[in-house]
Amino acid sequence: MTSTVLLAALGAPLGMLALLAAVPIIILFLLKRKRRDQPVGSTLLWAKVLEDTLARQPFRRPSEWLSLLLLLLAVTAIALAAAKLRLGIGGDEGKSIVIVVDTSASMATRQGEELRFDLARDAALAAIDGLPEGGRISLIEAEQHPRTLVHGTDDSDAAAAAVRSLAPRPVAGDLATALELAVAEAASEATDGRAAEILVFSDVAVEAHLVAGMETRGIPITIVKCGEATPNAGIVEVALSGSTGTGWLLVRATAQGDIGERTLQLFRDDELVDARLLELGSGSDTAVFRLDVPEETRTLRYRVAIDPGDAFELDDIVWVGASRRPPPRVLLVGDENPFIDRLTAVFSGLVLERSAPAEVESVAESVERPFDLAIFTARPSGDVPALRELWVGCTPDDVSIEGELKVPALVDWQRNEPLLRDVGFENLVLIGGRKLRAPPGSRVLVRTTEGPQLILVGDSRRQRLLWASGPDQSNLFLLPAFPLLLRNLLDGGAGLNGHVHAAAAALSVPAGLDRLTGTVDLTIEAADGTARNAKLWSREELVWPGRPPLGFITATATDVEGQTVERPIGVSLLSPTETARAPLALDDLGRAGAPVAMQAVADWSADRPVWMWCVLAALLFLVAEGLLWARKA
Amino acid sequence: MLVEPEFQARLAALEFAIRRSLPSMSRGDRRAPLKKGVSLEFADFRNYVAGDDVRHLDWAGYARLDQLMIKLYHDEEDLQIHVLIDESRSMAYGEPSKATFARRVAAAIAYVGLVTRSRVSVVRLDGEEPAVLPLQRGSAAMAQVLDHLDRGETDSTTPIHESCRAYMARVRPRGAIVVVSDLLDPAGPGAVLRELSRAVTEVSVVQVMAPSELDPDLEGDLRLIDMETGHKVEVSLADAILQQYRKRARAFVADCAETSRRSGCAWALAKSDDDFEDFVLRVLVAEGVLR
Repeated sequence: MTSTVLLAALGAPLGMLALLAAVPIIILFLLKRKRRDQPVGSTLLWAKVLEDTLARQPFRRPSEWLSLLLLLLAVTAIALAAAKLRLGIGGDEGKSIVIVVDTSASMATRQGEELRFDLARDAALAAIDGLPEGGRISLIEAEQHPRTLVHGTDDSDAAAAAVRSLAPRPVAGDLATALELAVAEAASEATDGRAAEILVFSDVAVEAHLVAGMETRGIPITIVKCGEATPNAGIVEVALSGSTGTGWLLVRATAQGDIGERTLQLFRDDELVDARLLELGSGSDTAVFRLDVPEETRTLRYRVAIDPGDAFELDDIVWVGASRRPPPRVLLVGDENPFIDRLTAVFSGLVLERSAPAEVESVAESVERPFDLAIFTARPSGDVPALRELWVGCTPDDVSIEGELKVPALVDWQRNEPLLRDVGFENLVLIGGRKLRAPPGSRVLVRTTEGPQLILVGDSRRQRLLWASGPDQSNLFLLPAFPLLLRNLLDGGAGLNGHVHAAAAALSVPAGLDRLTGTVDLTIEAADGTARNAKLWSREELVWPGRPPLGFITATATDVEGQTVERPIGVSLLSPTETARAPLALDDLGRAGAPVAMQAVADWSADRPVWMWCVLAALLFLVAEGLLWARKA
Repeated sequence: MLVEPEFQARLAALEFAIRRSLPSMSRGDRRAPLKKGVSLEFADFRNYVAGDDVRHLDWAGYARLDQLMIKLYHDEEDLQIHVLIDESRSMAYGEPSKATFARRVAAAIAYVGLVTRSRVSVVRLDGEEPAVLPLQRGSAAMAQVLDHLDRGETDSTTPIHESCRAYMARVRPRGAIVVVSDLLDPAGPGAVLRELSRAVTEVSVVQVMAPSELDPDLEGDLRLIDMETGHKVEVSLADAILQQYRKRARAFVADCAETSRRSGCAWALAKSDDDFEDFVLRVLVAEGVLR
């Protein structure tokens, strides 16, 4: 049988300093009792008067001490109230609580004078304070990749310190996974015979179904909702492109709640250069800014801001870095092809080089920087430094072309693939050809009835587009949209490169910044002064540790000859889920059948807030003392 | 000066009021209104009783009425007036002090006695050894009376009834006693009068109180110190307490008056800030101390 133990705790022990007020009260009381001496002819009559008074009111004499007692009780009650006295109920074996704190970006939304995260943090600390003796605490941070910070400790100070170390992160959170972690943690605590419960401190800006279907293993889960829905508008997508002299900046904003109109301001190097009106009544709007880029400009820093801002500030501003792109260089490896030659006419400034398959190594040695695009119509004898590759009728060593097409017919192509933007294959004719075996990790972009025809392999460092059939086995080169395919592969040609990075993603920067070759000294510096530096081969990448801070990160690469290239990278939130998703209402999870209890943080308490009763007691003592004084008067 | 010369002239018209006949050792100029004694002036008849002086039989009345009657004549006696003044410390209280007023009253009464050829003694009740000015006669003795009164120091801590007892045991006065005091004795006013009534005397009481003793103008939290005994009383002077005190003071004065009257004494109340001449000429006459 467990016995209940009444435990007292002070939430703010320094409040007990209010007891010092008792000192002047006692001094004044004693001074007041120090009466003025008054000689009189005789005290006979006075003594009789006091006898009569005492006979009629036997309790009057002690009233002075009673008055002092009431004042001291009031001071004590006020001190206990200031110290936030709490009483908790605990069991003999102690209890384990698993605390989940949401640190997703939306927790940085301002609610009155505080952030949602401040409410969550304070409530979590109160939960730790209210844990009875012998209790254990686990702490899980619900961020993009939820993690357990503290495993079942009875060191409440350490747990509290871990809570205080948390802060909202510019990423979308994964509350569902955090709850799974919490259930597992609580279940392991419960196997030790402890009572366990899970407390979640979050704004609950999640989809209810993600929580509704979770398995609780019988662990009671309480979600303490820290924050209410507030109208919010934020920028969720930015794209920049452009040719020499002119660029285009596309900005898409979305909203939750009643937003109406907002102004989108464009700053270049902190100077306001343009503005657009956003109509966010339908929930989303897009603005396009035309950028005039002077010839001599190499790098640009743009900042786009929603005006006026709102309670959630992280999504109101995006940073966009831009650098001038040199004329694209294309290497054609294989036989001459008149259709490829047309590229020079289509793309002004494009530099086209040719190489026989056996000569690519010498070409590779001679180039200072990678080709923007290498087109292979025959397999080369060696590796070619190129950012993107188009293989037509041939493949690199790690990809196989197999089989011959009998009667191929187009099935579909990936219309949403950026490399296929504006490229249609409606008029594609295959008169034979081969089919590709798509290796793991590749994506099929064009499929026929007999297998993949166009696949994409590789990553941002090197992308390879592989077309199975040879130039004479399809009309690929003759398609009206073929130049558009090449345009997509060349990022539109010379002009501007936009450098936009979502904070949630890991940041890695190619050492040569796609311009330099050989050994490069690369420095990456954030706006807060933190920096990373390394000497790398130009095609290697330097990874920023953790998540990059919001704002501009400047990458500076210098090769052995002293040639320096700079790249400003704008790091922004860019999270549609954090911007557009509102906190759930208190009964949303219940209606969705989620096996959790949810209450607002204002209504939640770790234990009995006795201090409020202390305030009431202090008032009662003061009223009683006032009545005594009035009687005495 | 305790009694101004101009006021002395007015006092000369007064005489000490005696309400009953007093035993005296010798005949004086003072006509006793009640006692029928031997003199040249017929006063009244009464029936003869065995032992009466037969020389005073009214033979003419016996011839007419066949009844033996004795003639009564006004007896002229020598009045002794003993003026007792309270010199305890409590008499020093007040603004002006009770002692100042009391001495003036004592001086006035003494003067009235002296100019009416009574014998006057003035006694300062200042403890176990009262200071006694022996009986004096004639207005020329007034200087001694004034000088004796001036030497009063209101320094006694002896309750007045004990001072009276000491005086009565020492002097055994005859005649009239006038005691001028505040009667603030722990044993009560009755104890004072009982001591003074041991002798066959006529006692008159002139009670002098300070105005603030009847209606205090004090306030706040005080420690009241008895000037006579040193006793301390702590009070917080709220209105209710002050009202109760005033009530108690009035009751005390009424008790003094009642006790005096029950004892057959004349009683007059004075406040130390009263008009002294008005008090003597009007109040003391109205209360039967003077006439």
